[in-house]
Amino acid sequence: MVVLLLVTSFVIYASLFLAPGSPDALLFGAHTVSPAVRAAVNRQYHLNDPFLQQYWYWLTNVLHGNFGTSITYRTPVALRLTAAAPVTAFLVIYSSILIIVSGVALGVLSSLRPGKLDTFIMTATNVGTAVPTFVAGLILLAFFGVKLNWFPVYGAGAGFFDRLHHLTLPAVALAFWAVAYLTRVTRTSMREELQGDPVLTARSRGLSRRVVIQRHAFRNALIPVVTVAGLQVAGLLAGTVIVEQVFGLNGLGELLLTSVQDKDFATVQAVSLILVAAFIVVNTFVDITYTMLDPRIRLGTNQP
Amino acid sequence: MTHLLQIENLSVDLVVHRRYRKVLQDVSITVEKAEVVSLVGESGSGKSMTARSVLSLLPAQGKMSGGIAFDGQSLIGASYKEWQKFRATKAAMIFQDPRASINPVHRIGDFLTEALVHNRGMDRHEALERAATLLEQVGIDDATRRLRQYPHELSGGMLQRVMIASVLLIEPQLILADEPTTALDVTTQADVIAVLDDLRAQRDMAMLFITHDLELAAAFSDRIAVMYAGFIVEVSTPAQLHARPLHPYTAALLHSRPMLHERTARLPQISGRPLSAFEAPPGCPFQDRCPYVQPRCSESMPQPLLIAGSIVRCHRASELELVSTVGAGGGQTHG
Repeated sequence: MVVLLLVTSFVIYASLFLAPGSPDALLFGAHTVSPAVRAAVNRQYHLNDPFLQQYWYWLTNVLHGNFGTSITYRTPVALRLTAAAPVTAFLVIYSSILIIVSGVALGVLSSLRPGKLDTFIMTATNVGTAVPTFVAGLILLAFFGVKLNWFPVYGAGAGFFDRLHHLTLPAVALAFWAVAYLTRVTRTSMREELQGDPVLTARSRGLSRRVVIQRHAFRNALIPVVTVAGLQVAGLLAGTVIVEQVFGLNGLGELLLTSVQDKDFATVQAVSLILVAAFIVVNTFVDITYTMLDPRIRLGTNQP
Repeated sequence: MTHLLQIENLSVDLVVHRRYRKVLQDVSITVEKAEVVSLVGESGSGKSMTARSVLSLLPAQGKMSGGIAFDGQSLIGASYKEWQKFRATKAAMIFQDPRASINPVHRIGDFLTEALVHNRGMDRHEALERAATLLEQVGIDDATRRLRQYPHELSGGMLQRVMIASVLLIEPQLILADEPTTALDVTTQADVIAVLDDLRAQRDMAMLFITHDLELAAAFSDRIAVMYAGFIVEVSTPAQLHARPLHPYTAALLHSRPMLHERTARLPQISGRPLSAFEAPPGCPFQDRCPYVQPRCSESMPQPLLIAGSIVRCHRASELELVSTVGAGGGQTHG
């Protein structure tokens, strides 16, 4: 995990280093400056040092919690991060809960009630998977935000409940596609398990319907569901870039986008690194859950 | 006299490719207390479905008609709850492939105690203790450690012993064993069967044993029922069946066994292929493969006849003199 982070940090740094536009060109813009000043600036930002040495400076600073100073805004990057990260974190967690709870619930319901309800849920999720996040966002905004005026259309709100209120529409927009998809995965997985041998065995022992479904169908069906849900939650981090644009939220996605436009190298590096780190953390969490769900892939167990 | 299990004129239809198809026709059989009855037949002859019908565990949309009674009480038309109670207390099933049937995500201990804890509200620790005792009886040592292990950590033979233990724990009056050794190595088959039969006999439990292995059936059952295309064509004792088979199909089956004491260049075979119940022509389902076929065989399915203590469904049963072996080979000791 540490190695993975190190590699990605290098890739991020290197790709920005190779990107067109240099920091000093950005700093000086159209101004003409004396070579002395230029040299002083280069020295201050280590711009003339070899690439690997520059990377090393950056890396050691990052490890000390210092993400550098934004060239464009002249404020510490860390400060901008602490302003933006909570919004995105809130949004992603809120959306994840929506996805997992409603996706799994709808999928299970659909698998247990073949017929009209199942057909309805399947039709709805079919449409759901086809709607892109930004379209879902705009529709929600137009209907619940503007027409019904139930939810605010802009900003992230302050305090827990205000924030919950503000972030409901963005979270739903972000979850929309994923819920539809997870519902389908859950349904398929449940149906397979319900027809499987362990369920037949459980039924043959006279266990109640509830025990059969919980212990032998749902429990086993969760294994593929967790895999898909993990990928989706990790994917939300990228999805925030779009949703934060639509709903005017000052989160990490928004920060990343404006920093790229401003050629604000230090900020782009920091945000990318945080997003990647979050992605890795989510994946690790999924792996751990996975081994808890399926004893067959638990490490360190051998045949007798 | 009331039979422990009485199946009467049972017919089962299942949905295959969106159409109802017959898998069992007019099946009648009884099992007495502590008796072992084997159902023998080829794949698709309806053996497993007969056993599953007894627990009302048909695949989705399966239709069942006829009579099933346990200890004199009819089970046909019983509610879901009543079936559940019947499965939990009176009859239990051993499945063919323990690796598939035992849920891989729960510990052996959970699998064994689940029914006791959930159905009877027994304390988990007490249930675990009972499970450990029984595991030792079915020949698994180090039981307390095994209880904490997962199914994938045990061999197939051990898992089937676990399955047997799980059934015995419930103390049912009837065990339905659906080819319990087919998925196992030949070497472990005999051990597992011996354990099952011993413990069953000690507890006076009856068993409906399903197999396609005639020798195995003969070795320890009281009666054998031969199935073909969803019908029971002959019911007899093992000795009688080997000495004088009454149905041409039974005779043909006995012919095509390899013998221990004789060399045969090529085993005799039954020409044609086994039929499923829904493919069978009107009349006797065996007519196309039967060497003794007559015009009346395609006209009607013969009714069960009682001949010398055996039940047979063949128009010509009383006139045919069938033998179980080709040639005059000796060395047949069954019973």
